[in-house]
Amino acid sequence: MIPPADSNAAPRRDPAERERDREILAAVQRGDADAFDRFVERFGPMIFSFGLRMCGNREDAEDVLQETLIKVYTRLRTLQDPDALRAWLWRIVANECRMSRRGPRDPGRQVNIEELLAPREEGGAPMELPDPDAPDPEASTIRLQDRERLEEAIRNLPPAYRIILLLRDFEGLTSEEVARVLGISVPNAKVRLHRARLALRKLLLGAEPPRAAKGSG
Amino acid sequence: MDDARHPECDCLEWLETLSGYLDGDVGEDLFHRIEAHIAECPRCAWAVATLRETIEACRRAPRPVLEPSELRRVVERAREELHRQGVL
Repeated sequence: MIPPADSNAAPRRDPAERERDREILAAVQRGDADAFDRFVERFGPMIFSFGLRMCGNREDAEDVLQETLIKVYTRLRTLQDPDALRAWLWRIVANECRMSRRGPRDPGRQVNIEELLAPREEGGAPMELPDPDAPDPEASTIRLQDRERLEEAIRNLPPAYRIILLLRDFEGLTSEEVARVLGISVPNAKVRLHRARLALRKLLLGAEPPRAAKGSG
Repeated sequence: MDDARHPECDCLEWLETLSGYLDGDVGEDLFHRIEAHIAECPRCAWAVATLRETIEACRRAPRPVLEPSELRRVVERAREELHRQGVL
């Protein structure tokens, strides 16, 4: 294995975070008085932001947070492997998002597990070619840095693409952890992640990719 | 359009490898072949640049936050349920 082409492309979780997870799990399993508060402080913001991006509305995101806290904390004492905590927690969060009342941009409809795990484009996702006219990289940078544009693009992705991007590129899970959360193989997770990234990139760049002016250089 | 040096099928083949390349998740031989290709192919070079920006935009994105008062309300509901179940 060689180093990443770009160090920023590596998952952002560091060993200190793993150690922190282990300490919180140990506190819960010892029954420390402040264990619940530590658990909420550590994972609450992650669960809420994931739920909001996945469900598309704050009411469902609050429900996801509440139900996840209850379910995870109830079962946490039985978790044997601290390194499995992340994948285990995110699997519960993902299931809670699936059970959310509304679903993104579709009031009254539940997001079923097939939608989470099998995108409509599976086996035939549009694989666009890069722009043949060598666009200006600086122009694309400006557009990609727009936070609202990013959040809107995330909301407009198919749920199966949205969930894998949130797990891998927002929350920093490894491909192996993502595969465990979604119950799919690691190669399948990598293929789906790549297609999700391409789909997001396409949305961020818009229908009209920036182009270098022909004959201007 | 001059596609003679970079036929579509070749670029599609490279495109499938780019996430692995950016994640450092390809073997050394493939890594060097991708590097050589994007050095010659502006279309794939742009694809790599914009895909990298897309990934970095996700990683840099700040979390949407829950107001402290709302967070307390949600956490208290969860705490009450855990008390009711005898977990806390």
